[in-house]
Amino acid sequence: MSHLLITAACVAVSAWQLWRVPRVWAFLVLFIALMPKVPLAAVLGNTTPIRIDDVVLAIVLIWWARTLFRVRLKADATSPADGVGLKPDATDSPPSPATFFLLLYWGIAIACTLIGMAALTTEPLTGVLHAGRLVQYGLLYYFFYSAIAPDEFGRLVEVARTAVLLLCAIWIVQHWTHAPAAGPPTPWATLYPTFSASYDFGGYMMLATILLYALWSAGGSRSLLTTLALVTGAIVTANSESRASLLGLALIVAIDLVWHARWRSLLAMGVAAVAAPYVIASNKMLTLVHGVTSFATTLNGNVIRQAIATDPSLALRAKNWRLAFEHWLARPLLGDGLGGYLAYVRQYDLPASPDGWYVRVLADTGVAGFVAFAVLMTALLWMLVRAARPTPHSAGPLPRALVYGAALAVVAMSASAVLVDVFVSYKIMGMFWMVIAAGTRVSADAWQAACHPPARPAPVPPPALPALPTSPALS
Amino acid sequence: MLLALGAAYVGAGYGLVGVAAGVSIACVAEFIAINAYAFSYFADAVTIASRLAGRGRRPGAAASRPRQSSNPVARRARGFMIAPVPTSPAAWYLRILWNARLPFLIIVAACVGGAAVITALQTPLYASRTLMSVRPPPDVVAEFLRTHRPKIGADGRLYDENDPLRQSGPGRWAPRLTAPGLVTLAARDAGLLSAGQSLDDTQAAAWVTAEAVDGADLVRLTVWQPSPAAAQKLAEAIVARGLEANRRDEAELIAPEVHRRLVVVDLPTLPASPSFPRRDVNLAAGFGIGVLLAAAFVAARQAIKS
Repeated sequence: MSHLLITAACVAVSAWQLWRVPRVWAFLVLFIALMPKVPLAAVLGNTTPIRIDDVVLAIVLIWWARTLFRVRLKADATSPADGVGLKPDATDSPPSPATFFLLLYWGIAIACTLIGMAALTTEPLTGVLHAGRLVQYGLLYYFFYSAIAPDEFGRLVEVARTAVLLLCAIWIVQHWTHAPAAGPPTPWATLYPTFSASYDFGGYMMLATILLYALWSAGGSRSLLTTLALVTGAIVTANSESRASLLGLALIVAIDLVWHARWRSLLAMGVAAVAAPYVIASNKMLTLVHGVTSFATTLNGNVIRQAIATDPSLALRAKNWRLAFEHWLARPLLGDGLGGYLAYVRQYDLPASPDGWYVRVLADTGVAGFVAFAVLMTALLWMLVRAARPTPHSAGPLPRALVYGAALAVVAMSASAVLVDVFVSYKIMGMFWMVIAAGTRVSADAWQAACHPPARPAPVPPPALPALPTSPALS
Repeated sequence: MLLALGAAYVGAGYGLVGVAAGVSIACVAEFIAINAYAFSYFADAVTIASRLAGRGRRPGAAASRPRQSSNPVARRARGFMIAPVPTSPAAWYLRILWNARLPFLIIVAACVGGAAVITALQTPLYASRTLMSVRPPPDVVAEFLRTHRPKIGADGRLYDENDPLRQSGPGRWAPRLTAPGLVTLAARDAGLLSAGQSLDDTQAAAWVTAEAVDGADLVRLTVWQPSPAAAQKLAEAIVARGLEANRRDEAELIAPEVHRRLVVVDLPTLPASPSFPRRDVNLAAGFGIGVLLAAAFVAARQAIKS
């Protein structure tokens, strides 16, 4: 019964939100957050099936690409989708500053995969699937980049906030109405609405909370709903059973407080840390909080060593990382090719991921892919940080807050990627590229304004001189 | 790229040649499609087809390419023309990269050269590898299969084959084979150490590594030495010492259910080439570090300039 109520509430609120913001990108933001992962077809030798999400995303992206090319080719024609319920998205956007780096990473990753297929280190179907997903996530970036116009950033915040509030509401209702079956108690970690595991739920909530935090911190939006979404997002992230996400969020808050020298807020965070045992209900996350607190107060490295030795999850990671590292040693420059790790990495006797993005990139695409990825992340961070600074060409507080949130999102993702493969989760990637697209759009606008300043108004011609009286003809 | 991937997949059925042919055909198709799309802004379909076929422009079409000037001053002046403002950030990045190509290449070459020098200076080490099995005696296995009695471990608690911390097989014997005392004795047997010399933890770990193979009753032993013969000799001595220790220790166990017999599955190998330093890894790491450093240098230089 609760499932039906939750579904009905989600559909109703989403419909209301789409009525307020009738845009395809708004539909996609809500869809990525609220649509459960429903498999359609298994791919031979892969743990990840093709899902309904993939089909819907493909339809949306194809429709967008068709509209984009049609608008580009017939610039003076009226848009073909006029009159449809969801209005077409804006397509008149400046060139993306991330294209060069994205293409570099894609090109190297796909070249490594082709070579891996030829060297028989990765299965052809697996390579195609993983390369396709890589491109799919990148196209999401371009979709959001070209679809969300700068004057729609307020609506973007509204839609993202609605998605976060709905997810938090689902999570709370699920936990309130959850009746444990007979036998051993249901692990806390099994309840993550519409997500496949704690890692992608935690990752999504971390990114959403960081976006809201940046909006709040930089003065982009401090409304009641934003504050409510921020608080519930932080609480749910802390209870999401994803330690990488909690660490990422804590890192971002620490960076923000130190960067802006908000020392009184830092004291407030200390109070929040003391209150953590009363707010966090998950033993796993409490252990993490205790471990971090112990390390911060004692600065004893044995705390970390003990955590790795006693935690089965970290021990499993360590074993898989060693295997991945050995594979990298065998093919150091180009790696095995995308998806090659499925042949050797195991979790509980099943093919799985190494659960560490950097190790995986190194094993899959070698030093070449690793360097390209590092350059991509560094370039994103560089251009976003530059755009977040107040300059004569910078935009208002909301766009600047969005850029600031995007820069923080890059840092948080880079940090949590040490422990989790955050860059291959479709839900996390949907949120991540949406935030990055908004940030880079502001950056691109600033770049364009700096390179091509608006033309000076044409000089006003001097007033016409009064006609001289005709001189009498000389006689 | 996806087209090339798909074509490679289709061609994979014919082996490497099929993959190469698939990628090549896809690239040609992509080239034609992109060119046709670009030409479509300037010319009609017939002109596009004739140009792609390499027949030049249609008769009567306007000549668009400026003629090369015969004046050498004018030709030289063209080279000094101020480049136009880049139309996109990507073009801007490419221009920055192109302007800094010399320092970029120098930094990358320096890092790769440094990695090559470090590799050349490192002492080559040869690895002799051995595979050993740690399994219960056949009569114990037969008895277990007959009775399915739960086993009690050497520590007096229920024995769990799947628990790596409590199993008495490879997980227990792998660290024993690398113990400094055993390695010291084996090195003396092999004539690598004199009677008065001994190895500490660090030295023993640098000479010998042993790991339990997951999901199997195997221990993989690797011995590192500066010469192939010494590596093989030390590995043989460690195996002999390990077998002796296994016979002695297991005989002292009262419960026959937990007896484990150490058996050599694969004799110590005589390495044909050094396993250390890893030349490819070092050069790849040098290249990666070089590209990162060079990119950082170019970015920093640009930031200072602007």
